[in-house]
Amino acid sequence: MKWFYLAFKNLVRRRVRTTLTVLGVAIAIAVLYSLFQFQRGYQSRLKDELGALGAHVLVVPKGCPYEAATIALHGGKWPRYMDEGLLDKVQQNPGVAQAAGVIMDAVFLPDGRNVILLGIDEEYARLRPAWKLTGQWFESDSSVILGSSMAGEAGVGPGDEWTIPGRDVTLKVSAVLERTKTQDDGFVFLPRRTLQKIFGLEGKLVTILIKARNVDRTDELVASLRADEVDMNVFPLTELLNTIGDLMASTRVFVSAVIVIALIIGTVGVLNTVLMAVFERTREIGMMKAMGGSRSDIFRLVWAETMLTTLAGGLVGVAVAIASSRLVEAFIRGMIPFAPEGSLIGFSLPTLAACVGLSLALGLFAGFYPAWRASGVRPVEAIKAD
Amino acid sequence: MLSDSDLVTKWSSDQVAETDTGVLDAQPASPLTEPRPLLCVRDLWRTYRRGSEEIHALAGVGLDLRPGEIVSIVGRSGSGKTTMLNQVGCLDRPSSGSILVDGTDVTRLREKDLVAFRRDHIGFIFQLFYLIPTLTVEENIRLPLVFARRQDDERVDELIERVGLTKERRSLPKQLDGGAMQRVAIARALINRPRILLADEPTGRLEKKSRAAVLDIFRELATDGLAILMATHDLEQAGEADRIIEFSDGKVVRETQNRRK
Repeated sequence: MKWFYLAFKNLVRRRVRTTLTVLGVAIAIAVLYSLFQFQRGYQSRLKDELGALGAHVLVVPKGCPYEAATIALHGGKWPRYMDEGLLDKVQQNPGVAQAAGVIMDAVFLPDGRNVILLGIDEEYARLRPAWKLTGQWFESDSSVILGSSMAGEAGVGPGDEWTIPGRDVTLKVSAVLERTKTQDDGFVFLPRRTLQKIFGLEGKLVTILIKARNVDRTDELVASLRADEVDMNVFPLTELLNTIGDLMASTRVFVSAVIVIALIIGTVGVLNTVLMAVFERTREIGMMKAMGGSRSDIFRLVWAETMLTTLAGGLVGVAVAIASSRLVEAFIRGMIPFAPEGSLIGFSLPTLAACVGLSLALGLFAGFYPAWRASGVRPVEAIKAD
Repeated sequence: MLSDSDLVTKWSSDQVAETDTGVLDAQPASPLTEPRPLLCVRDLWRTYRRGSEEIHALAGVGLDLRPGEIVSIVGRSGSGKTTMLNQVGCLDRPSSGSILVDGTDVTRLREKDLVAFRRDHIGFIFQLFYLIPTLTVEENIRLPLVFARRQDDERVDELIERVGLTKERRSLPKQLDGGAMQRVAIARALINRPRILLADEPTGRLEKKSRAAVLDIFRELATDGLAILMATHDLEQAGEADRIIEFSDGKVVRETQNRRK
């Protein structure tokens, strides 16, 4: 019979109270895990998405840079365009290794979903060396390349015909993009000129993706592009990452406050429960001391009970957080203006370890005072109480 | 059960022969006739303060207890019986006087040493048993071993058999009657092989049959050399002791040798 077994048996005596205390801690830890993991997942997925762009610098029309970033990353319909002539100017900049102009539009389906179409050229494909096509590059102006998800949904493959929803335009699928696990999987790629013609956007671009000749001199390139032209927003992707990161950082203060409050409530709840249990068991503690239990034995026993409670709360909390991750993620996504694709709250051993460690720390902290009180019970109380 | 005022008169007239009156000044035992006392209490005082008033819960008490001896302490409520057990059991510190347990003056021990001394030399039995309800009979008996950081399976088996709980060793306390619960408490008190057993109203909550069973166990234990000091209101139980010591106002007012021994 060991200390933790004894502690466990004591907890089992007060099932309802123990369960409620464990739930209190579990809720605090679940909130902590979800928010912490969302932050981590967000940063990680955002980096992945920006990396998938294959560019170092993004040029978008004047306007809100966050909105532009969202369009550039996730696609969409944005009523701001740049003159296609800017692409030539950008390409002539000596610091530019590659520049791909992109035009973009979207058609909305009756069920509320939308189909995002990107007008691209071979320069765009060169920025995506990881792309693998099943089929051929655009064979003609009426060719189309479908992202893997898009092709799957439409049930078409290379050589088939595909009609732009809501438009009387049928194109021939020249290739299907193999799964990239990025936003590209859901896109439809057309020759730039074809898309411009279909949507009446001749001579216009939505974004220019730039690969710098020398990554270490990206700042100089950005400065030089900004000096050249005032009708476009030029920003390096690191800046975009930082900008969105700053945006998230402002929410981190709120998140931290929620976590701290949840932990304080959890700690006070545990402290109160354990202290009540100690008061109720004064006679029993006295008996244990009469049986040879020392101050440190009693302290250890009560502390072990507290830590078992908070540890159970921590594990349950993490399990609840993982089980409800989709629900929580959908809720958080609905509250923030931009979130990367893919699962953001998933299983993470470091986060799990941090949460379990924190729940143990909570137990250590919350259990100290009740354990100290219990260890101070005079054994004479046991007989006196008779 | 009789009232406190009836107590001493009844046992002294029915069952025992009065051997002394007044405050006892315990004398050393004769080396030729009696073994050396395990417990020697001398001029023990325990004084509490209530405002400006001083209350002497014990006022110069003396007492000896020898191996194999059963001694009952009787007296009215507040006479000092339980206070005496607390002092002897090292659960409380006396205001003055000495308590020698197996040659060690426990009043001079530091708190840490007192815990170890209590654990190794003294067993306790309480009226309310204080068993842990979620631990089995066997686990309750093992509890003091946890504090002693010892593993003694043989002793556990031996005690379970001795108190007649072999079939109930995996039972929870709630599945036992009062007598069985007290037998668990006795086994628990004996697990660390103490030389003195202190019992505060050990049969106070038991019906007649269970009381008899507990007393039988006490007699067996005494035969094996255990010294038993019990505070009781139970005249029948008091009458089973080798000696009966009556307390009143914190003093020993009478010590009586039991004729039946």
